[in-house]
Amino acid sequence: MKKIQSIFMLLLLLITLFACDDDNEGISSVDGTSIEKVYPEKVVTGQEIIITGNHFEDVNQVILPGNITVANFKKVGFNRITVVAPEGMTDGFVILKAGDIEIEAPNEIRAVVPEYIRVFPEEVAVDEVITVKGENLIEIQQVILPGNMAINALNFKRKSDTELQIIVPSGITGGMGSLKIITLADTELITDEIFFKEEEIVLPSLVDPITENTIILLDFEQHGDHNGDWDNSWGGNTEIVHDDEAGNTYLRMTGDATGNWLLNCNHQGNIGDGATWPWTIDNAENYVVKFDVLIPFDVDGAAFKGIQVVLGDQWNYWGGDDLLAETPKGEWVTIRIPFTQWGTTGSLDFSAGTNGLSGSAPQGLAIDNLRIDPL
Amino acid sequence: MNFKLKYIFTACCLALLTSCVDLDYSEVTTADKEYIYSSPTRVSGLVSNVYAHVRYDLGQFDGAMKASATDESDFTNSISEIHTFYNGSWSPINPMEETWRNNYSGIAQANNFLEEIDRIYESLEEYRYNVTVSPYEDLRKQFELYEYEVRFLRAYFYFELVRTYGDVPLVTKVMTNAEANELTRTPSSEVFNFIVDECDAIADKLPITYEDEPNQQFNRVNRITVLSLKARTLLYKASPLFNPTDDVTLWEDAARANKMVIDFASISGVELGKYSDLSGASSYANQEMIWVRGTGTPAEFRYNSVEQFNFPIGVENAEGGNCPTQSLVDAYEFKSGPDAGKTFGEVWSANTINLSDNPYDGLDPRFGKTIVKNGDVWPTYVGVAVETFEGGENASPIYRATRTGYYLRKLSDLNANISTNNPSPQRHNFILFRLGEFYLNYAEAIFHTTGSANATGDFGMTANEAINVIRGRSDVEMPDFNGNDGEFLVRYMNERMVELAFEDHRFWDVRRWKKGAEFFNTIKIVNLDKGIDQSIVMTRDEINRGWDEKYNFFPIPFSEIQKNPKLQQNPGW
Repeated sequence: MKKIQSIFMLLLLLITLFACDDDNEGISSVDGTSIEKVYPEKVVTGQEIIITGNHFEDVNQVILPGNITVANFKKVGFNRITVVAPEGMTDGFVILKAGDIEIEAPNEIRAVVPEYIRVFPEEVAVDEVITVKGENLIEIQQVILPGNMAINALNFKRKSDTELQIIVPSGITGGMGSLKIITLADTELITDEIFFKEEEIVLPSLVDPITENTIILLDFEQHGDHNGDWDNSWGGNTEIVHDDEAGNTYLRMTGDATGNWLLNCNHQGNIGDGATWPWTIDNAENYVVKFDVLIPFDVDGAAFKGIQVVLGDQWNYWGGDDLLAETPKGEWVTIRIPFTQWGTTGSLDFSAGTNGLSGSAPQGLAIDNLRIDPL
Repeated sequence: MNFKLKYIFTACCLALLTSCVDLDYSEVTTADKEYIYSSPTRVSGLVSNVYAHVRYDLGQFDGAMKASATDESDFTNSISEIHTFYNGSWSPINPMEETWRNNYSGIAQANNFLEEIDRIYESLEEYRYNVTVSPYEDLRKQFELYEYEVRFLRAYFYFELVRTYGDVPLVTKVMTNAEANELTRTPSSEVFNFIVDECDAIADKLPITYEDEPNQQFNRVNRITVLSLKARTLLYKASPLFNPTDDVTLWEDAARANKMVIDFASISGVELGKYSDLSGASSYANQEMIWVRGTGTPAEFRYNSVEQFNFPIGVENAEGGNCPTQSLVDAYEFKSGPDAGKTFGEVWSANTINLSDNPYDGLDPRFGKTIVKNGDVWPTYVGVAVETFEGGENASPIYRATRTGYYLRKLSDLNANISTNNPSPQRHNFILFRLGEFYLNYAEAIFHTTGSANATGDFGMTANEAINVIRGRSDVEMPDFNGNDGEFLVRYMNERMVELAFEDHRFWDVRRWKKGAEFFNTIKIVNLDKGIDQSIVMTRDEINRGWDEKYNFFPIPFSEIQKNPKLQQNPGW
């Protein structure tokens, strides 16, 4: 029997050893309301204060430092109360009231206000980062840039207690200006002024790029033994222009052309060096004919409408009235004519006849890069 | 019973009664706090420990994925634990409790960390004036994010719990044992609200990307990850399992949140990529990924091998594994031809199908990127066509051969070699959040919000448009989805099954739709036989699994309820 008692005692000792550890002295009671912790330690007006503890079932009031009684709080789950910090709160201890019982938090919280210190850089452009240094900035919800351009916190690049980072968005108003920092309490902090660079408006290019898949029929450039000057008009009133600054060679109308050849391109395809012209293409319906034109400011673009594309003597496409509107800025633009638009499908043989552009065009108009691109 | 046994029995009972509930509340406090908070490395280690509780399902049940407890696949090992989910052995005393244990452990660690959050900067003090060792400002910036990362992880763990168990104890503080044993279950709606509130509170405090953050670490939580958790949470909250009254406002909340993820993607550098890039060692770098979980250190890859688990039986060292079902194959639509837009199940509904009729020609490209069929060369380094017909090199009667007629391709790395003499184990990445999911989530939510597949609601995108973004990937390019309103949900469920196959969605989707009886009761398979004339004929067949509505939620482990009777068991268990 003694042996059995010894075994029993040994087992009890083992039980004691393996029983769960309880190292939270003073807060282990499960019978009454208690507060474990209140955080965050620093609170700005409007911020959510989180209170964790036990037995919040009967809590009916939260008393915040500054003797502010709040009845509008939220109980979450088993042991969590959240309450929004009101204006006027001071440093101190949160108290919960459950009937006649008052329970004070074990840790103090501090009422703080967001502060601005500095902003940099002094000059900033679109897509660059503005950094605002300060204190208690973690709950900042919005920054307003000059021009009333509001950026919500979700779109800040980064946010911390001491720093905000904002990327300058497109559309910013150029010039000197401050940032308005909107706090949770809906107050404003105004930064020092910095200089916002005027945004460079880069319009998308009106000219299609030449890619490795492009078949160049005529670009007026020198290719091996090929002389771009050969590709001048048969109809007169044209010249080859070498724009050294832009590194480009193109054709320009020196006088009005009426029903004449503007350019022909029966030569370039014969030159191996640099020429990309195959003499035939299969499935023409999968290609588009393109060329670039430039209409100077003082030229009526609508006059350029009687153009005819001739490839392999299949000259059944005429440019209509809408071929090209005016280009007021005098820029190069690309004209695009899918083969399907002129009813050409299947194999197209360029070697079978004459190739080029013909039609009516006004003096001053320039043409370059007759080419074929996959759709 | 003699005295000796009585004493021992009594002592054992006492041991049981005095032990604490298995919510893992005390274990995290065992390490010496002064020791931990004196070192930045150890503080970072605390956060890493919380991250480590994010689970992945690349074969978590000895190679079986939860997909094999759905109509997506069948696991070839007949004694695998995965069969517990439908063979009648699932119960409170065999509760498949990994989700409970792991996530409450993670929550306990998170709570512990957050209660000591004011102390994490102590360890940095020694670096404040020592710019040569480790820049103080950089470490501080890294530490500033820890609070929000850990709050996110805690919310994520609660999401895992609530979708698994429904109501669960919502605890946000370190518990004493006495407190833990007093817990009651918090209504699921309240848990969902907590997750959403936490996401709202922390999203703007985490960076959009970590590109410019000091001490970058792979796969840390960023802003779009938080938005993604909120969006998925609201989808579940609105779903029939949690929204029995079909409150439309919940669907609208879900639509708004999921659209926000879509809109925020471009800001975050997230965009749809190729479907084929969802698999393999480098899939973590796919720009569609929002949050992935790697499988661990290189040394572990060999033992955590998707390829070893799933390459066809007959391949050296392969185990057959998770075999896609005919139910899944039937969900794929044809891309082109006269049957474009129809599913395989609709077009090839006959009981027998002759493979010489090329039934798979023109099928959705995702089929070939997910499933290995008879005749495919797989794995490529073996260079031999797979034979799944009876008597074939990779088929019955070989033990652990496919029962469905197919093997799994998705998730495997094309360069992985599992042979004994020339092994090349690869890293694997489990997808936790990717952009494609949120287009689908949005489609589902906006359809329920508006009642139409062609209405945009307040969000500028219809359900059909959202789905067509997914189907328009460069390596998929399926015809536009024009499901009309009456049939939309059926086609949507098919599309979701196809797109998210083997990504641990189906198991949960069918439950939240409360469609288990429809989809999981039986699974479809095919048996392949080779005739004398060498033609191969597939014959449709089924495997009965059974379904009980109580399966929508897991049982609370019996051991937990025994220790804390206030934890009410889920209905039916």
